[in-house]
Amino acid sequence: MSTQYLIRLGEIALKGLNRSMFENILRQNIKAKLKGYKNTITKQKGRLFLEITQECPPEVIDFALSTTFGIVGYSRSFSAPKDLKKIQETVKEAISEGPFAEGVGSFKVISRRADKSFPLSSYQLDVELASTIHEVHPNLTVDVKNPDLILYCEIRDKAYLYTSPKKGLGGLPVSSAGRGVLLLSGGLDSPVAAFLAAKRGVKIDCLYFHAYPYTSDEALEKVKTLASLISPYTQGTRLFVVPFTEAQLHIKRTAPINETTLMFRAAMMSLANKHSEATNNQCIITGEALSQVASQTLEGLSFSDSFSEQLVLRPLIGMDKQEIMDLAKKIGTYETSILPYEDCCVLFSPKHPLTRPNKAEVTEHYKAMAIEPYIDEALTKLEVFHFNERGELSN
Amino acid sequence: MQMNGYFDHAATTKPSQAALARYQEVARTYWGNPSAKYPEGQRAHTLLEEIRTSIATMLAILPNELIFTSGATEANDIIFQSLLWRLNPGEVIISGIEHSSVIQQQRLLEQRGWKVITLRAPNGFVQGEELAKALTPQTRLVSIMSLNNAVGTLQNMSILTQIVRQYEQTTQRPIHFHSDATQHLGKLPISLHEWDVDSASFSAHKFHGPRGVGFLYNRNQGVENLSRGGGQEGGLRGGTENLAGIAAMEVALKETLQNQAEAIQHVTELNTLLRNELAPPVTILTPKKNASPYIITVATPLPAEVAVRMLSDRGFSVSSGSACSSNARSKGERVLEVMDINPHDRSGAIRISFGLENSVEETRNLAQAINQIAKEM
Repeated sequence: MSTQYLIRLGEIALKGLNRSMFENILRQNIKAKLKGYKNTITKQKGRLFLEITQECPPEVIDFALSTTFGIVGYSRSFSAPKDLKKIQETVKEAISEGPFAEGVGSFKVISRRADKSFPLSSYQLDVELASTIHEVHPNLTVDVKNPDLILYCEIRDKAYLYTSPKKGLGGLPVSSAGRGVLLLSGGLDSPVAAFLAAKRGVKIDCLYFHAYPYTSDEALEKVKTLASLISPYTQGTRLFVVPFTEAQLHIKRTAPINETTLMFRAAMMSLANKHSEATNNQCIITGEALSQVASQTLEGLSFSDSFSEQLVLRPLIGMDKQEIMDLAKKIGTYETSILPYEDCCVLFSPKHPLTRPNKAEVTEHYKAMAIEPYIDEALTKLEVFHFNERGELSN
Repeated sequence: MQMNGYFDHAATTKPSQAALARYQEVARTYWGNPSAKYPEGQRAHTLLEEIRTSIATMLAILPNELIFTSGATEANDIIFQSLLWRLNPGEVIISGIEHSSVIQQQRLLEQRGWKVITLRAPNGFVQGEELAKALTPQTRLVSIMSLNNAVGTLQNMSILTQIVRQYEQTTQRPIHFHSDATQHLGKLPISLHEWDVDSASFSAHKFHGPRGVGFLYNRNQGVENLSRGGGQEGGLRGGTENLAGIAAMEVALKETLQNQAEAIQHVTELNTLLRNELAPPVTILTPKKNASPYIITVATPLPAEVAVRMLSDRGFSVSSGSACSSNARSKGERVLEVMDINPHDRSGAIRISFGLENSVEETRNLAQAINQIAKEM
């Protein structure tokens, strides 16, 4: 026996000739999360229908559908042949579970006919199905303006019935836009940036700069937890850990003290660019927001930007800290991000960082440091952790 | 990671084999509840009282002045929270370099209308004149730790208590003098009568005994525990007695006191060695005079947390007061601030604490390792 889910697509449905590409990726993304449970997913305009074995726990299905981008909403659904009697029988089944089962409050029926050849109009169908509901639950009253409960009926190849649709994340399916490298720190911003980039269809690899013993192994564990927390949204992710101590010490020794933060960021960008190219990624994603900290001024960003030949996406650029925090709470990364393990030791943070660097001047200073050999060396020592679509470490 | 040495004996000590054996033996043999009147209970009761007398003898105090607790934190709690039974709030004087189990009493007391006066301790020493100035007719309790855990400075207890006793003469009102002596017992000779304190707290795990057991020395009849319990320990500490732990503590204390003279000589040697070997930019924060030879606190240019990690990777276990983060102020840093240590040294302070087990060679290696990491930047 199988259970059926109706999945509503938002923006994908508006796509033109490439719509099926988006739909196919979305199908694969959903299937990846339901691995181990027999299922089929069929397409119809604006909808996907998931038929899945009853062995699959509802919470696994909920998890899969509520964390996958490209889904606007979903609902447990029931189908019937396009015959009023049969539809009415199925209505009884559909209202035997969920909020309708209690039989109290007000309700309405919303019918839609994709198949206009169905003999009853939408309004007639509403009336017929409402009377069926009333037979089962005589205490329910009809309220078309402000109902407590809604039964939806869609006439397509079959009649589909569902009662309590849940919201999906919206967006576009991950991988439909391409691939990018996220600079993941232990802070609040970068996991949110990952979420927003994934929302627009970017498949994400994470890059973390670890400066042991100046940053602790607890800080690395925290970043691994963050990677695991974002990986359901990103359809799994790879976390690359860069041993960055030597490079950081070299910068600390050779750069003017107030420029050290800028130099770290430039070196990180240069490394990320090389890594992104080597791993066939198409862009770099950062959690920077304009003027949030000393290095995120227009001048600071313009400087670090110049070390990447790849496109740099900054999905948080116009967001306030509070907005970022709210979103972090919503996606579940907040509690981990605020753990006290610092992603950068105070030792490497100048008291008075340069906020408005002269690009030409600091670029000269960067060149004078001769940091590239350290970057190339670090790139040969990457450690990688694989997280699957369910957030599990899989290597 | 190779093990080169455990240098955190002020945090805890390795339990003695004899103490652990005694624990097992007593737990197996004397399992009866000491409050019960049947033979199993009475045997346990007899042993408990024998141990009380034995430990009291070692400390030259009376057996009824000794209350077994779960450790020094609970002993401190009993003394401080006893104040809450009083009808009218008064004043408490503590030193700023107390252990957090004392410092943390402040909030509750203040909420209940008490005034808590905190004394500065330049270089780690409480100033007699400041104590004298702080005393008022409302002073009900003075608490000063005899040996500081963060830097190892020793207070001259007799002089401090004398100041309080003289003041008592003028008001004719007794002031309770408490001392958290957790770092003291087993390390250096103690004379509670000479100190003239009313109470003092101790933990067994600081002298090779087991965790979860310690005691309160108290000679003040007026002290009452906030928690009532079943009336054990003369009503001062309810709860069925941890007899096996108490018996193991006795063995550990006896052993430690027997070895004390040897240990002092040994750690003094190690202390001198470490002081001689450490070179700039390492700075030594623990004063040479009037400090425990068991503890040296030093600062390197590295944040303490980083230094501790680097030493740990080299096989040395030492303690850091402070965290790498600029916004996480730690207990160690608080103490160093009260000592007027400059902010840079405060954030870089690491504590080395010796035990009889440490060798000259590993101490020399530790000194080299500290010198080496101090030059990393």
